[in-house]
Amino acid sequence: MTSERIVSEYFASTLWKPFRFQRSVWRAYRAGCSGLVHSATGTGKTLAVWMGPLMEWMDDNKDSSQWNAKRPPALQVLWITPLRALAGDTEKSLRQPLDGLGLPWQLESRTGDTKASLKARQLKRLPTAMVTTPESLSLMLTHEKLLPQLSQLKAVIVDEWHELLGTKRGIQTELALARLRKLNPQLRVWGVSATLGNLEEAQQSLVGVDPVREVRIVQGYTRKRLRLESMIPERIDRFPWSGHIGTKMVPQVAELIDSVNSTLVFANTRSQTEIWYQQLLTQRPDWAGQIAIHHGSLDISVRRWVEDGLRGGTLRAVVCTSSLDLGVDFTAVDLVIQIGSPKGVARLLQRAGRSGHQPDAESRLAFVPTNAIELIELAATKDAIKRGNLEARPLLCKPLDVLAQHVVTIAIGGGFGSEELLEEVRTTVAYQSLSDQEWQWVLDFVVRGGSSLAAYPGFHRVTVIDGRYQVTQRRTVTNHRMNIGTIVADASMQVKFQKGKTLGTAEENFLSKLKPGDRFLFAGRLVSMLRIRDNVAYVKLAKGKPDTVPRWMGGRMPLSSELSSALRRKIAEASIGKLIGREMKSLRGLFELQQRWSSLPREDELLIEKIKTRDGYQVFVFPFEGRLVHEGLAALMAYRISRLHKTTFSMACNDHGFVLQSPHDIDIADAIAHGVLATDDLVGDILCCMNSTEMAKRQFRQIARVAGLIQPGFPGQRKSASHLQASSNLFFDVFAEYDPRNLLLAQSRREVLEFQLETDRMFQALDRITASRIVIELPERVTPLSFPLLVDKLRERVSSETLGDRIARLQAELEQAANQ
Amino acid sequence: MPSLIDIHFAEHHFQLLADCGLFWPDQRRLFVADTHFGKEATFRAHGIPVPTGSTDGTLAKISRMLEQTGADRLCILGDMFHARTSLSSDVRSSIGSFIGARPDIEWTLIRGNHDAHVGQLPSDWRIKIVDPGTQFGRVAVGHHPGEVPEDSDLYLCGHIHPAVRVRSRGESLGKLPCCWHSRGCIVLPAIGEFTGTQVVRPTRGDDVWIVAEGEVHKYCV
Repeated sequence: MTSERIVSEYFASTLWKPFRFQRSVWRAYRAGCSGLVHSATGTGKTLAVWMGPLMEWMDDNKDSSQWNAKRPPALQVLWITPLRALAGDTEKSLRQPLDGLGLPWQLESRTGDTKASLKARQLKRLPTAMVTTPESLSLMLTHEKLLPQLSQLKAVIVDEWHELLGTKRGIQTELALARLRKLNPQLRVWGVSATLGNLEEAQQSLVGVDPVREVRIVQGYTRKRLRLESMIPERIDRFPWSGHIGTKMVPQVAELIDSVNSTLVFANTRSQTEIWYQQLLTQRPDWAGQIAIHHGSLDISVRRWVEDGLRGGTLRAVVCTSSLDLGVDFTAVDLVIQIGSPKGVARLLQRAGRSGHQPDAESRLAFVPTNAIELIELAATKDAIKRGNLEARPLLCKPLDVLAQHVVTIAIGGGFGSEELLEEVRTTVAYQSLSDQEWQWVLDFVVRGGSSLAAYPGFHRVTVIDGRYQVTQRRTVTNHRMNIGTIVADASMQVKFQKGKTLGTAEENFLSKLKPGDRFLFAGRLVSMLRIRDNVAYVKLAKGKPDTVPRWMGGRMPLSSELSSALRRKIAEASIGKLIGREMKSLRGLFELQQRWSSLPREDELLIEKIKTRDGYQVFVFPFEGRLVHEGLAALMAYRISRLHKTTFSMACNDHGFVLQSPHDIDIADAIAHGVLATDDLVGDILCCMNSTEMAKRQFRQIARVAGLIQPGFPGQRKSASHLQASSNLFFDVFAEYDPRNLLLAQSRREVLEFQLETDRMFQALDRITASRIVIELPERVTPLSFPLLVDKLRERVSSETLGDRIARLQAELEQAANQ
Repeated sequence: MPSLIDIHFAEHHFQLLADCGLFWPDQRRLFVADTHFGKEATFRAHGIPVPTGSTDGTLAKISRMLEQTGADRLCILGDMFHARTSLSSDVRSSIGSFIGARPDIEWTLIRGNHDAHVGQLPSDWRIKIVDPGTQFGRVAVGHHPGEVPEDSDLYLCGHIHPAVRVRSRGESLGKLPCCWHSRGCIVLPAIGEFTGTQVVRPTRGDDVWIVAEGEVHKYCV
């Protein structure tokens, strides 16, 4: 019997019929192709890529009487999953067809959670198929004795590739894949991805430059039905501000949750999840134990419990962040609620796909605005989905920290010669343009400490023996292996009860600012701080109201450029009175008032409003380009105007625009005529006006960890390693002072421009603005568009005061506050 | 830009310098704390690439202050060296020639927690090593912060690398190293270039002087 027949019968026994795209992936795989499968979540992508290798093996081993589960075949398939928390579920879903077909394959996971005894056994003999993470794959490459087995691999499958793409862990994966291809040039690599704006690039990153194998992109099942609805507040305030509606919608949300079996409630920040969870419980105390909270800072055991509850359908609702964006089927979930702007089209689709997790079921998402203007964002998202304008995941270009880490990995795992490894590294898309100088710097960094000959006496990590780069010191091997897993972890601190139960982790930055007795919401409970000791924050349950909610970094995602442009289109439609859909119609009053007092910009216009308030002269600018771009533009404009006129600016930004406040009346038309919005010398001016050194230092935190400057704390050994602890700030300062040509510094500055300031988007925005007609309105009062900006605290400041002046001023302010 | 501030404690007069030292004109004695010489060498010895230079940078600050004040005596309030591996050949030669070039300066080191693991210092360095609790007149010195001894007016120390967070209404200047006075105990900022800081929470009645970016400022608690 052919494998095709066997598989068809297997499918028949499960009462499923293979989709056409699944069959074409199987055929392509068996024809020797690599490729990428993309479609919405929950549409059978796993089986599409998994069955190919199984069928091929069955064709090669036709005599099933020889199949012996006690003597499983050697390693055939590596399955890479982006999150180790997903490994268990993935293993389960991969096991079903193995059992159904009675294959003698041995399937195991190898992640940070795997038991040491199993890992040790795997080092002797790898299973037939292994589920692993990018970190664990890198770690395997440090074991030279695994290389012969890894060179037997038939296929690597990278699950949820869109999650890794454009991240440093994605780069780590690319480098590991290049190594595996080097071990076996015939290796087939298949990726599984959600639909993206840059599928070609996603596919290239997976198979590398000049792949040996033919490469296919297969589109999965696309006819997934999607129902998007908005919960429109009964009264639309014409002066909305962020968070204003907020939890007012709790009763309606509770009602909606009540009407279905199981709901995922997505909030944009972890602090929002804590707040919503509390509010829902207050609204429906009888739901205690039936609703739960899930975010990345919670302890793993808590998260597991929640995930199991979702899977078993025992939980009515889970309030979560992007921590549940990924993962295998929660089949019980039949509704997704999104609180606040989804910030991106692909993200909203991904989240919606978490409900109706069967190929033929309908995904249903309800949107809860936190301010009225966000309703326009949902309308814009709907438009973008209709047009198929999904976000691209921009690729990272040759980050040297990850390369330095990889080079040490290979040096440990058997060593390398410079030329051969360079050639291999350049087969990845990320490093195809790596220059000889950059490569030499990375080698110098791991061998001598840096490119300067004299600056690093006594340093050893990698040694060159007879032209081969290798690691001889046992300690280096141990440290490096511990360091590999640290690409993601941010400086965080455990939060524990005094008796010892771990609640989760929060950013050190937040916890270190709390005073003993401060109450905060964490893991769905109100706790108060007792003390911080040995990098652990001890807390106890508290009563009353929270003094603060933990803020985690990364809570301030900007609006994607695709969504921004869709948003501009919606506003332009509104400007000519074209209101399509419930969301836009519900905002009629707001739009009319905005038109009456000021105007609504068309797509080729930039709206600027000038208003005088008690605090000074306010200039509101509305490019609708997302928060990060606005932060940059605001600082840039303030800086350039202050070069024309002597003045001081305070500013605030949101996803729609920004405001500059100054004590002087600025002639804005004149300033624009003088080029304050021109792209000339943009990067130079940006670096001058933003606190770019501070930002670079922040960016350097991750770089320092990945490049192995910061020693990961040995669990339980924190103390003995303390003489080797230094903050990344300190490293940054020392490098800047004594080895300014260190390329890791250059990388941190480049990353600031790319990620924190999104200079590319700023260039595009300024180009667009330059081509636009500038509309300057002088409304008598604050308009619906400008109101939310005015309410946002004026935080940033462009100023030329000295340190002493600033200290004195801050103190005077504090004094005044204390006297009130 | 104030590069020093006059400070009066009990009947004693000191000058707090922007280079992180405390000068006592009556005794022509300069106090510094937590030099952590050779910390970068220790990191390198453990496979973490940190360039040379911060030891020389720290020495340069001390040198500037000796010249500025005309001090005859230098007292290090503990943690002169970071670890045993800090005494690498380049660090030895830097410090050796620094001491050799200033034959008239009297050196005293108050033993700190890091110094306990460093071992013998070269004998030609002429450093007098004393235990915490030593007194110069009615001023006691040590490494760890603590109570003022009964027969003293003041207690000078280091160890915690104090810093304060300066912020108001969302505007923040971040962590700034400081000199901290609390009930007669004066904690000096760490002078070592490759050293971190720890945020302290002064209480009412304490004094704090911010020592950063080549400036000294009184900061009201």
